Amino acid sequence: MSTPSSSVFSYRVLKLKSSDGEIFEVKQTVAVQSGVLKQMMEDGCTEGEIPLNNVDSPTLAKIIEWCNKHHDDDVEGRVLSQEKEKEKEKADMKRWESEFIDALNRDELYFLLIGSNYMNIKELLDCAAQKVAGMVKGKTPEAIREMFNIQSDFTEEEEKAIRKENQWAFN
Amino acid sequence: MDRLSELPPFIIHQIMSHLSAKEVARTSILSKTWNLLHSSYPILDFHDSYTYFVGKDLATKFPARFTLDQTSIFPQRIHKFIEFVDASLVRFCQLNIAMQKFRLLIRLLDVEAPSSLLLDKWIGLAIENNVKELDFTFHCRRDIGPLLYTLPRSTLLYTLPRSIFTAKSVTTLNIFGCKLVQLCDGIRLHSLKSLTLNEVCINEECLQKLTAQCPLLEDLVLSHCLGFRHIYIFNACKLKIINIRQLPKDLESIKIVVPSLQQFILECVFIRQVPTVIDMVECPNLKVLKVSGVAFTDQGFHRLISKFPLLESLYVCQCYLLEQITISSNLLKNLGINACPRLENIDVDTPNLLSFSFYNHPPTISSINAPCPWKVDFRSEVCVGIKVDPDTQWYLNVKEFVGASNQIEDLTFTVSGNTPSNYAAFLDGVFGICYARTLSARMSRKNHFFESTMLKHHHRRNDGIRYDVMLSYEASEGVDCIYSLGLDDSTKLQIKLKCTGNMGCELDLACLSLGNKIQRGRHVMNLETMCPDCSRKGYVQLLALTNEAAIEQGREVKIGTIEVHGMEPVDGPNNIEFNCQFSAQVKGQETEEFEVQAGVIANLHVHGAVAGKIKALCVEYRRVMN
Repeated sequence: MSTPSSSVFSYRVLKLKSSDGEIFEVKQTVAVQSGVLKQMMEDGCTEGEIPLNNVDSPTLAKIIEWCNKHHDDDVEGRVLSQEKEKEKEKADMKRWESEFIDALNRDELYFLLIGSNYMNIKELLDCAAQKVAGMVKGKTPEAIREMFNIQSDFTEEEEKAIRKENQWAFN
Repeated sequence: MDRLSELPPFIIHQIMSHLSAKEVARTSILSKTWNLLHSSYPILDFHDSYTYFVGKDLATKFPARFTLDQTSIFPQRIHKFIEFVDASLVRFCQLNIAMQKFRLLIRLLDVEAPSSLLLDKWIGLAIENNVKELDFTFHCRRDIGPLLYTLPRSTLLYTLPRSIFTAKSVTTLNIFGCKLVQLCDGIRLHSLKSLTLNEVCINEECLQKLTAQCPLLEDLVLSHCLGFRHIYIFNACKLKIINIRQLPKDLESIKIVVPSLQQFILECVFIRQVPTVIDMVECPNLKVLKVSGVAFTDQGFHRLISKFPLLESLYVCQCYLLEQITISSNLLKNLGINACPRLENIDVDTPNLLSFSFYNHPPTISSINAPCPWKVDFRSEVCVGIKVDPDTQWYLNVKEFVGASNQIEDLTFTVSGNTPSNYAAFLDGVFGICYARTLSARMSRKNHFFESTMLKHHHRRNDGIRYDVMLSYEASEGVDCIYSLGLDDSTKLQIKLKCTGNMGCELDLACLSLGNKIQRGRHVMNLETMCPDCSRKGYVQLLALTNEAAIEQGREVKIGTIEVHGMEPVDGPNNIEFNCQFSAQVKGQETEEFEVQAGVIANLHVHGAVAGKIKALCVEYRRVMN
């Protein structure tokens, strides 16, 4: 969503540089979804290339794809007359989001979490976190360990003690 | 490689926030890292309903419903839970991390010390750790149901400690089932943005102060609160939304002086008999107004809405004194009028309206200018117990009403009582001028003329636009209804037949859903007598109606989806086996048959299995005893 303050610059683009040196051009109106970039724009320090040292180019491409989709070009000019239409748009967006997230492999998801956190894009971070939570849900600790390759470093006694402490959750 | 554990704690906690408290706790045994991540998780969420603490029998029971035995055993069991909460809170607070959220749901048998002291301590701990969200639900011994309004409850409620008023970091405060008492010194809820009081006992002065002294307050919900006769909200300079649900019985007035207010919702669950004085003179920026169950006179209502020059959405529901509604506005975008039983006449001039819904019996119209899609539901029973028998005037009003728009999107009739077939002529007239995209009839009785008229008119349309026809029946009375559907009334089956038609060519979707549950045995047994013409026992031709309509029109029906829902018997799905058979008679006398066997057909979708041009379709199922 564009904010009034950014609409003045709507034609300007930011140059984002990924950790592996690739340059991505992003409209300012799209970039405001990132808390970090928004802050930089407000501080007026978006001249030149903006290095994003924690985000590689495939991840950045994904992040920009997300932001472009969630950016509403013509929010003022278009009137959604019907609740139904709004709901439909919402549902379409939800579907797009889940397809977007489901298409990622484990590594991509991991880097997306890191990247969206680094760039402070709340909705994307939340969506990715929800996806991971969905993978964890309903699984036994053993299955979770196996899925994410987590090595238990507890001794048998320690694990027993922790299980006992949290026994309410295992009932 | 174990990447997940390498994520920053903030992200892990973000992931945890999508898990239940139980699932979060279970991650603690994954590894040492995860154990630490769990203990530093800043959302502390406690429900006393976990069976581990209170046992299965008491897991979800309200204290008011406890038996004597349960009352005596409960304190002992809840003690385990209390110890757990106490230990968890103390442990978290030792870490010196800001608390994001403290949520507690607990049942209390008494509200005196020592339990109240412990609760005070927990709330104090949370506040000391700069908690942002507080969410408490207290179910006290005698605080549910209608008792709520008859008992002097104040003595039975836990009183929140005064420290609650000085919680500077709290942004969201959500409390249910307790008492807030006045304090002498100031309120220092400097960060509070959202305040929800549910079944909270609070006096007038405290309520006033609470709303007036939170500089950031944006959102206020008062639901089923008590302890005051007047609501006076003023000096809340950022307040945008006020939502008041169910007023105290003896409430006399509401006065709101909040220039920033954008949305005001006043909903009374039980229709109020006594008019309440509502004074909102100083809210010129209001955009959304919803009033429900409020005893306005015509005058009172119009005086109120005249105060909001910028109003964009207006919803009026169950205002049983209203007889006349006059609305004239260039800014209004959404208008809803719902269940005002005495409404006789409306006069609407809203040239820029974007949506209009009207669920009522049809009133007369003085004039109506609402150039937008309409959703209309004409009802013969507007509120429970207030019924009219649709008479000639009723139909004339319907006709006039639908004639006032060429953009009727949904048109529904909810009609009980008799609708003699000689009114078909009126309906013919109505449908001659009205082109609803969705046309539904909800009837308590089978009504041939309704459906045939509706279907006929919809089939006649041939403009390539997709139309929906929905016929729903509630099989609660009348043999008629059941007979033609081949089902017995005593099963209380809810049947909804929905045919979605692309009227330009053919019906492309027939969807059938059986709501609720079929009582074991009875269903099939009664069918024998109900359907003497069925050649086989237990033969149900569920789509009879769809077929009739289709055949009558000589149209071809293409079946896209058949959905059969909820066919499991009441007492467990394993006792009866249903055999479901779909047979389709395809044009040109070829018959295609396919059989779907399922132990229990609870949710069966057949997609595109019989695509093609089918003239008739029947669904049958037989009961097979094990």
